[in-house]
Amino acid sequence: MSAAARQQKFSIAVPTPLRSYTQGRAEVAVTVVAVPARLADALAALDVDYPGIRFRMVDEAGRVRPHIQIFVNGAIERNPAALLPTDARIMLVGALSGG
Amino acid sequence: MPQPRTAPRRVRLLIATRKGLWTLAGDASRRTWKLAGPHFLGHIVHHARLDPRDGKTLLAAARTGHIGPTIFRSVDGGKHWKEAARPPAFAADSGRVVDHTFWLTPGHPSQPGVWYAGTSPQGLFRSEDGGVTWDGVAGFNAHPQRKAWCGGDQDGTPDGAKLHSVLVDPRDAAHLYISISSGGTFESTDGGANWAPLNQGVRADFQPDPDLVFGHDPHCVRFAGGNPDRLYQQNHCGLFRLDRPATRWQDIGGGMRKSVGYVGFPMVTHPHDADTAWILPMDGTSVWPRVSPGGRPAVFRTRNAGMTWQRLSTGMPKAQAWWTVKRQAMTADNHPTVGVYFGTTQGQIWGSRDEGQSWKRLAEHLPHVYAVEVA
Repeated sequence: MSAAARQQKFSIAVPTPLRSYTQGRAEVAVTVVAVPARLADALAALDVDYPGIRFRMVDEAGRVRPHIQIFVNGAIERNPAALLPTDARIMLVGALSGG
Repeated sequence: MPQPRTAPRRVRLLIATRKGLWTLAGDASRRTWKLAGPHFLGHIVHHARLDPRDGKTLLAAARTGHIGPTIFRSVDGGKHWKEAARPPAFAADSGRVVDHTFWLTPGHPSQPGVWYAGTSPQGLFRSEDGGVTWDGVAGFNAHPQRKAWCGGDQDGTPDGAKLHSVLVDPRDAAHLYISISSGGTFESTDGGANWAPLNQGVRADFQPDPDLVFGHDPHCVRFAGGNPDRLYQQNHCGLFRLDRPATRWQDIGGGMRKSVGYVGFPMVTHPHDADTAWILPMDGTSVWPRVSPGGRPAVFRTRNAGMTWQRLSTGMPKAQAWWTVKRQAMTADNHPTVGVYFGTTQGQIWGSRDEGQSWKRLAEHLPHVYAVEVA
């Protein structure tokens, strides 16, 4: 399989607290080479395009931060090792209430 | 009393708050002040410092409620900011996660670009490129005793355990002090490769053994102005002074009025006079309200290295003012007649242009103030 054939593109919806990294874009696309593609691969690809963004969502131990929520095709997914369907649409959400 | 060699600059205060960073610039007389900001509106900014070595690099330690901690950096005095490429973070296999960077200290004048950061939970980090990238100081973060020194979650402050008061000896870049809440004060003489507790004489009333080697709760530790052999400490359990090479702290809280007590968070030292320091006491009785005792705020100043303390409250409210002032939220400038400044959790900034004799409110309606520093 060629490198191009191994590439998968995923759409990622970016919440307002993280749009300073994406030049204000609410939605971006990332390209993942790994097969099968995992959520961690998509977040790593996002960090290549927008350096620093991953650490604001995922801590140094590899865990999704408590007030970040990630949806894959509408379902909550907090496991970075989770496999991504080929049509996965990833939605990042800042989930915090209070003052 | 020795005076500063160069004419002091106009004072600009960096005000770090729970909702962003503001600046407050004074005129030459320090009578008129202009507020500017916010930067990073909505970010929790725990500390912001100017690099005194170049006079233009600023670092700000920030996070938000949603997203993780970072360091913002400006090389033009705050006109433009860029995020650190690699903010402080523990080793991936350490099992520890930086919640926020709490304290920033510029390094020694002989090491331009070196900065230190203290984090919550207690970690020490160092940058050698002016804050762009950060690495853990393994001598502390991976020290075999580190876990014993730092204790468990119950040993931290309500906002998380902190590493703070990172002090670099102006005569020796390898001579460092750090303090941890809780854990105590620690010293390194080899640039952070090894650390030893330095807590003899400091009370720890909350521990079964009052004469511990570590496990204390220093709130703020500062060098005396012009004499780095002298340290002043505002502790959870009192006020202390250490004159090196001695290793036993002296209790200097005995001169405080019993009705006020000796509990507080900040410790501010005079830039030119090693015998002068200021504190801002808070109520440490019963359930620890941590507000101005009796609702009557006052700064207290010693002119004799802590033997006696004088109440200074001219200009402040006389009653029903329940202020809390955090450990980084009080500072002094470098003028011949020193200005002293502090910020409250109610968002007021107060200043004195006569070494604390009289006070004036310089700004109000800001968010909860975490830190005030002269830039």
